[in-house]
Amino acid sequence: MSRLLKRILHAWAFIGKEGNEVRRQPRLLLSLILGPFLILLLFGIGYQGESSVLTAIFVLPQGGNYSHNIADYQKLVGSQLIITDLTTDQRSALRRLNAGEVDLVVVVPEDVTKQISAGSQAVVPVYFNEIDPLRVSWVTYLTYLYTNEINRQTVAAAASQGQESAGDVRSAIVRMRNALTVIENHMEQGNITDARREAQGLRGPSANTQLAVLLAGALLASDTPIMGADRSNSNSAQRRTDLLEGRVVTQRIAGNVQQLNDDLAKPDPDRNRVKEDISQLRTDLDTLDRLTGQFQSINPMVLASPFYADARNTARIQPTYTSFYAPGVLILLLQHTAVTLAALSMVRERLLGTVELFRVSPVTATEIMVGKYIGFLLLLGAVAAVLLTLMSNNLTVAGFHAGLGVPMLGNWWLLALTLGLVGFASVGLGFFISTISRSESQAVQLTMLVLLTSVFFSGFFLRLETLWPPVWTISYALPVTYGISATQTIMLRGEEPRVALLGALAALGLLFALLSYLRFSKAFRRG
Amino acid sequence: MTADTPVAGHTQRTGLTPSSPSSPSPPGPIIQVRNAARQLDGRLVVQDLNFEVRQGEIFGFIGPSGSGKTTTIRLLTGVYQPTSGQVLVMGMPPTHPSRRVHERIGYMPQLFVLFPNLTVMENLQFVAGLYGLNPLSRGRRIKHMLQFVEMWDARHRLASRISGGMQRRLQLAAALLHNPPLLFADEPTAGIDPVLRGKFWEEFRRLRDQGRTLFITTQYVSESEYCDRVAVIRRGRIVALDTPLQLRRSAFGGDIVDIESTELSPSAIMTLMQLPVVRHVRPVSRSEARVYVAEAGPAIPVIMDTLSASGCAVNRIEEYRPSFDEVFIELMNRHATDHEEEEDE
Repeated sequence: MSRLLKRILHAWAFIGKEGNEVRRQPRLLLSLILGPFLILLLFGIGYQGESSVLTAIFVLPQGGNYSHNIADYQKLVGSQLIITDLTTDQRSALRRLNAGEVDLVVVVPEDVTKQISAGSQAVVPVYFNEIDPLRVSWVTYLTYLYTNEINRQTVAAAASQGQESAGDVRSAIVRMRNALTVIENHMEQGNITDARREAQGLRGPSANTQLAVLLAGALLASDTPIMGADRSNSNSAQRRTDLLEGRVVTQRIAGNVQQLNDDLAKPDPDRNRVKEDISQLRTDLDTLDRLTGQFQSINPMVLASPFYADARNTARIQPTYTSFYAPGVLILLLQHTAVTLAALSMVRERLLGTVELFRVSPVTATEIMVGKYIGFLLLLGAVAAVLLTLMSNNLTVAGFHAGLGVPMLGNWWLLALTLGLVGFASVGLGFFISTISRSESQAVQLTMLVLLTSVFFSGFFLRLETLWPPVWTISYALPVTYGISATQTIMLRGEEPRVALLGALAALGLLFALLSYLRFSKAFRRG
Repeated sequence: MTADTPVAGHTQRTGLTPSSPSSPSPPGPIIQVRNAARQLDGRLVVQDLNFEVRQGEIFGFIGPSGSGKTTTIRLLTGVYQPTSGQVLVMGMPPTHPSRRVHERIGYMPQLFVLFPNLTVMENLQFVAGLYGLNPLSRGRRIKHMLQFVEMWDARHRLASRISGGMQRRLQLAAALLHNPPLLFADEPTAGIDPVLRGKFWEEFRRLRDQGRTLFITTQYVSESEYCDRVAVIRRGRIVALDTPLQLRRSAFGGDIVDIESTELSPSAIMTLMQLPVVRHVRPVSRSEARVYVAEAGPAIPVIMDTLSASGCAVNRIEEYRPSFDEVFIELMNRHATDHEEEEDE
């Protein structure tokens, strides 16, 4: 028998042995395949993915003209914040907060109007009692959100008032049109003195229209830097044109009113010139009437929040929490299984004494490692196949849709390559752990440490960008970091992962293989 | 138990024809150990080891627990390298990386070291793979070995579910699976019942008769008589090495003859002590004495004649064969005394 064939047979002995050993442990098999799937399933069913609803007490100032109806305040804050009580006793409210009865205490300040009128912001203290930093961030964000909402509603109310004021402008326009008709009649009858008096009466309404248009322009908020930068937006450009036209028209009306008065003030007013003034004024008043009508027709909420972000996801799938996390869980479980099996396998060989048997036999350290690598990779391949089937979109059992519905948009060969590389690197990591462990319990502890490190530093839950960059060294020493990124890209984006990502994973696998080989062969060496 | 595959190049004691042997062994001693010593954790565990093992013999290595038997066997199998001296197995150091030696030796460790979660059959399949046995023909060989150790019916049982004796038999089958010409067995009969021990030795002798060489360590002194040659080890040093018969003689300075007469007078004992064939006489009672002679065969007629001439009627005279326990104790005591004297000097 050739030397090469013998070497293959030596390695094959370990492939078969590892497979048989795992097969003989049904509980291990269950924990390897059924356990992870149940975890995935529970995660899919159990994770709501929505932020929790908070409860709050509103503390109102003593006296003052505030509503004592919870519904009035509830309208302002929406469904994420449930107002359970309104009170004027701040101390009692804070006691209830500290007793855990509510999540927030919102203190409505006294003299809000006075503070705003004085040009300062009205501060609304919001108390909460949290030790969870994520929840602190969530409450702070909600506070910001609700303040914006209240501000928006306040501005909308002001805009509404402005629109009501615009009604006065239209009345003034009507009065001015009537006055122009009266002036015309007086001029036809040669009653110059009455015409002059009527013309002087036009000055007041003209000033009102000018003021109203300026107010409308401010509320339209069309002079913001963003608007200035984006002139291509047709709605905003139209509003800007309207405002400019409104300003020009009101200025022109004021000028024409003055001109009309000046022309009539002459000892012998030129009738044609006065007619022209009146005609021009009528045209401008028509324009102003049209513009004012437009301003009144705009929804006050639009005036308060002229922008609405319409977020559109260009990804090929609409992500769910299950589909997003499932590839990560798959990789994490594969790594953990590989590291545990490899670490325990080598340690057990040592503890059983079989290493001595190997040392007396013609087998080499390389053959042992190659055999074990292949054996574990085949086993991991089977585990991955089962998990992918259970995760898939198409799994139907007895007519029921049994899969988790995780899409697979990319190339299966690329996925197999990625999983193979993750397995290769993870088995290497497991072997390395086995070479530095003196007992099974030590090996188990180290594998659990690897699992914990992977959960926190691999980007599984927390994005790598949120970590301090030096910590990335730990992240990039874990096969799972590369595996999760590549698998999500393949399965959920349907794209090819970066070559550098897979290259780095392969390099990491080779590094672990080399390190564990050097340590194992040193320990295995005869003599 | 019968393993009927003889080893090539061996003069068959059983008259069997060689059939499918491992590679032929080189001529001369199959094991040579010269001044070998091994240090572990700064302490000399074995030292001054000098012996040779010839092809086709059972070489017993006997000593109390902790005397260095397992260390010696690890030196011979290449698990350890000697700190000083030389060890050659089949003409090569067993630590040589070529593995040629390792393909031709079988090793039965002191403890069961196969895989408890595998069946008997799967364990042997694995060992067959370790030694690169042809996958197409290994099934026959495994069946043969399982029949040899009388475990064919237990082939589907998990190794963890069989008795300690069966585990030892399985380990022996694993050691012999690749048909090695040289077998190392580290205390193969430790902890098993006397009936099975007898079977093991019966089988070892049969293997020897097929031309294999067996290096066997044991704590059971009585098992020495199954060996062709025996080395006795104490505190890491070999204190005696010979055939069992010669060991017995050297322990007591020759043969022993027990005599019983109606009355052994002091003058008769004095007369016996003056005989050239007699080295020493130890009276046991008024009518019995133990006589130490160079060789019992020629000495017995001379003793009988002398006693008759002295007027003593001999009721019984026979050679006494001391047990190996007595031989072992005698050797140990002698070595202890010599060692103390050396230390005193």
